[in-house]
Amino acid sequence: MKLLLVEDDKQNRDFLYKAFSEQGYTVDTAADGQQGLLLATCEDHDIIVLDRMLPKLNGIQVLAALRATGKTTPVLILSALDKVDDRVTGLKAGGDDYLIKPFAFSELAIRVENLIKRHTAQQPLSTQLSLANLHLDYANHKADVDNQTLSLQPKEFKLLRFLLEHPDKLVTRTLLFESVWEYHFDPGTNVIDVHIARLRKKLQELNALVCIETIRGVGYRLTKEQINAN
Amino acid sequence: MPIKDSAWRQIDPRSSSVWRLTLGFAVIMSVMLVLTVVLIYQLLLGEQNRQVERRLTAEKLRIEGLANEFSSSSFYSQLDVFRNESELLLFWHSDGEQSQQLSFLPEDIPALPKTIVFPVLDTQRGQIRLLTTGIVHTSHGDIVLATATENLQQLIIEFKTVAFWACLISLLLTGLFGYIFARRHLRRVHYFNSTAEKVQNGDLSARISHKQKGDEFDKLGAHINTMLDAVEDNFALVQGITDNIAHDLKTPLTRLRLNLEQQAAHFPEIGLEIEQLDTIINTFDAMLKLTRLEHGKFPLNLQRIDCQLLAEDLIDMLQPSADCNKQQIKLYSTAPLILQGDKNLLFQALFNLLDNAIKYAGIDACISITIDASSLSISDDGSGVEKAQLSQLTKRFYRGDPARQYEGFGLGLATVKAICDRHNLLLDLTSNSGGFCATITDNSD
Repeated sequence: MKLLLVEDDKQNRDFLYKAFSEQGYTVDTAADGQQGLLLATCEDHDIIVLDRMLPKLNGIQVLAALRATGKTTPVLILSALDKVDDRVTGLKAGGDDYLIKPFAFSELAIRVENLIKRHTAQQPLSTQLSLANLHLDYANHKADVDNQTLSLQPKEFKLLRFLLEHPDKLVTRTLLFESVWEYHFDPGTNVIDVHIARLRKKLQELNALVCIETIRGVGYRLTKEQINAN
Repeated sequence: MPIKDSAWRQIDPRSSSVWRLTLGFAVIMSVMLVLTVVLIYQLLLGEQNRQVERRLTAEKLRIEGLANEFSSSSFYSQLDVFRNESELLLFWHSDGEQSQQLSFLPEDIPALPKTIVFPVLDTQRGQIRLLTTGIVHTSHGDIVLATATENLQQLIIEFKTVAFWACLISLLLTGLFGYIFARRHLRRVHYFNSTAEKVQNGDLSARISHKQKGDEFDKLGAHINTMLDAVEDNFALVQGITDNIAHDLKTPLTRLRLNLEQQAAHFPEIGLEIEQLDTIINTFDAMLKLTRLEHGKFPLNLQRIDCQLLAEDLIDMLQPSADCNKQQIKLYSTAPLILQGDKNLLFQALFNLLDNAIKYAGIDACISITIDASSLSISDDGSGVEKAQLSQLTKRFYRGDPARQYEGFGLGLATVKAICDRHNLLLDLTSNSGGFCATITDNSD
């Protein structure tokens, strides 16, 4: 997977370069808009992570120029501006996703992954997801643990589905929130924590061999339960 | 009936000072006109009338003199002569002698100097004449004196007609020109008002176009524009500052957060620091958002919103939190409430209200969301808030609990208020022994 990172702040650029490389991406970096546009047009990338405020050419200009050449590489915009109109202009200019600084790397990683998946547009082979003894069939809206039906409310089902789609990965609160509710706002830690607690309880009641870890300040992670923990 | 209403508003003197001025002007005009007409009438036609009366009185004196001087027969022969040489008409009927040239004489002719005017057919001339007549009582019998005044009467009638039409037309013209004048001015005032409204709604670039050297309105427009320029400059300055702060602050915050996150993988206790950092960032963002909302700088993404769906999503989201406090949330809906608004903002407003109810209503409380055709209210049966605090609640950083035992920045209700104001919705907070109630009312129509 080839990733182009256009970010003017050296420390952040180095950090993201390292972090994405560790995830197995081949990363090209650019420090300003011109260089970014040059790299984006000359080479094929699977995804471009583009800062909005850049020297020489700003992110929106780079994006517009790139789209004018006919390139459809998915672009994720990073911005320090948290304004609805900025988000709208960013997405209108051809951006595929928008993330506001400061962000969690785990969230950026999942968003990048989702964009690549969406872009390659593979039809999923099955509508079933499973981890350990937990199975979820989202086409039929059914979830069970060892063939015992897990009764879930619609939002809990969506929550579990999102976690199952990203097993062993850190999923941030905002990502979870976005996947379950269509509202764009952050309700704070408590609300989602309570939902997760409820889901966790239902899973435990049926002795599911999975657990949802809460990693404070970062997010949640769905993992197989350690055998020695039980 | 908005059209009828606005038409009435245009001519309702209470709603426009210019129109009031015009009407007052029209009244003064018509009073002066009436006075002038009366004066002209008195000076020209009244004088002629009086001349006729003076002449009749003079004749009366002469006839009375004759009657005293002569015997009956010679008096009448004198009158005969008199009748032939004078323009005046004389009639009498003494014993046996009738002198009638006219078709009829009314019965109630008054004694001179009083007179009466009546139309009569002149048989000698074969035409209808208007006669001003009066009676002279003499020792030889009553003599009727008459003079033809049809020309004068005609003149008076014509004068009255002309005066009436002149008054009417000038009044209509005053009204018409006044209306046009008032409308021209009102249009300029309306233009000023609509520009001011645009500015109020966040379009700071709205300006009033005016002539360089014009009347008071142009000067006013120029002043308003200068003022708006200053406001816009200041606003851009503030905007620039906040944007720069946002950028300059967020770049290092991003570094900090990314580093902390990396370390948290090895030292989970760092998660607490990240949460603190997120709190700082959230407070900062909430303040920026509130400021933008209050200054109309927050563009709305308007759409039709069914409050029922909004409330259901809201309950979905907060039911688990309420369960933690053993609270019940009930939704009552008597009629659908459809609003035109920004979905995310309205949801946030309702979220803040319900979240507050869950936080403050206490264990075992029952929270009701009630929707009717024009309002949505969220009420609880908790202990409520003191009356004195109600008006303070929507202020920034005001906290109902002085001990600050709950998380939050005191921006929740201020944000709700700002969102409601931005949507022209009315936020009403009430509290009594039965609990606290927040009502959002749609007062658009």
